[in-house]
Amino acid sequence: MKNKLKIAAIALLGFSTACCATRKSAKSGGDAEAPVMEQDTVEARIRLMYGVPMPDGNTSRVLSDEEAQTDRRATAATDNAEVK
Amino acid sequence: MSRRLGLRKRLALRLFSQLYDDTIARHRLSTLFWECTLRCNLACRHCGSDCRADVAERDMPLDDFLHVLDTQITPHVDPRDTLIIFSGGEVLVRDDLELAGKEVTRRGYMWGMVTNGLALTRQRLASLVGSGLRSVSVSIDGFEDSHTRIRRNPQSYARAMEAVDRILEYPDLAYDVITCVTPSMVDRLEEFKQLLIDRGVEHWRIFTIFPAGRAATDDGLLLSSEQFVRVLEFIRNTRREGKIDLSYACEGFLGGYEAEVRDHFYMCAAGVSVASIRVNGDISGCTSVRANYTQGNIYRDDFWDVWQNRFLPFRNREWAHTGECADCKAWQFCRGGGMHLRDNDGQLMHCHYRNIR
Repeated sequence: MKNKLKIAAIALLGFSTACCATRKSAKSGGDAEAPVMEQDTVEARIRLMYGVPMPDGNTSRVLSDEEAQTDRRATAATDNAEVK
Repeated sequence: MSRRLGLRKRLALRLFSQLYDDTIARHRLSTLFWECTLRCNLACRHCGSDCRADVAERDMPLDDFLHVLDTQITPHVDPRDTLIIFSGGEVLVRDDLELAGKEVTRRGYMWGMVTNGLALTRQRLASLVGSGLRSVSVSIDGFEDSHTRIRRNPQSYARAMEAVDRILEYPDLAYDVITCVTPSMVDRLEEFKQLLIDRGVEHWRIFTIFPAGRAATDDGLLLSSEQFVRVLEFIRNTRREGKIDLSYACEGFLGGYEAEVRDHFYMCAAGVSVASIRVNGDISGCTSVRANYTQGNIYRDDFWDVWQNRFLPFRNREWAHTGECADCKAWQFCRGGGMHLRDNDGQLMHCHYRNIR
């Protein structure tokens, strides 16, 4: 039996969310200014024991130039001062 | 009765088991743990990593991780669909965490981290979000007395709660609170749930102790079977209530509770869709697997070759079909439990299914 049929059968049994999840992601090669979204069904993401929740949208964030160039060491000095 | 598997769920699990076979055959890497340090600013009673402040193992240099990522992983995966989790120890002890975050984000990956919250100041969180942080989990093990008993630091509870408050200020940041439920918290879960809801928390994950790391020698951390069932009942009722998104962690097959205390049916994803690069370069499944199921080392082996061609103990679990699993009727759904529940000799340390029967 094809996987899609199995998933449909599981859904018919009342467990549609237990084996797959819907994903929205930016289409590859899409224009960054106007991202095209594609939606499909993927295997469920297991929430791992020492893992983290899956971010919404399933896409990586693009850092601004300013963010990308920020010197972390200056921030670390501030943080250390606050922790102490 | 939730303990028993009904016919409808049994049929669904049987179909899911076939999907799981297909998932194993494809073994698409979707989550990569980078155990970037074993240093920690706490020394928790239940720690599975046995981490502490003065570890002998030095942190893995960021460049070593990025080299593997660039040459052996990125060419084979879609970074947009692959989550990197920085893991420890306590990841916030690394001063170059932001740089690491920026580097993996620049390559198109999403990244997240688990923290005890002790050092997650407002500035540090802003700095991490500015470095591409997309998801964070904070450990709060119940009310202050229960939390402090486990975390062994009088400031740890207040700091963790403050960390959660700060995280809630970022609506785009995925998060959850992780609670390790110990015997002292079983009767107070309802009360603690209300505290989280009142605080604005919407996502909560519960796990229970399995006998590994320091917990292996601490009986006061382990739940009785009766307590474990009560925790599962609490989770199931809370999910039906719908006031807070609560899940049990991924470990262990749960019989009739399957799909009622988690969003998904049980499967162990270690070595199937989840890999880890340990602080010493070892390549394994998820970081919960502390026994020696190392499949290679990045300083000797090609990561992708290891991922594609090794990991047999993770993907074919027939070796575990012995002992108490040999005659278990749930074997086809459970396949011997999570890999982290097996010791160095392959013996099952803890069976969740047995606990609820």
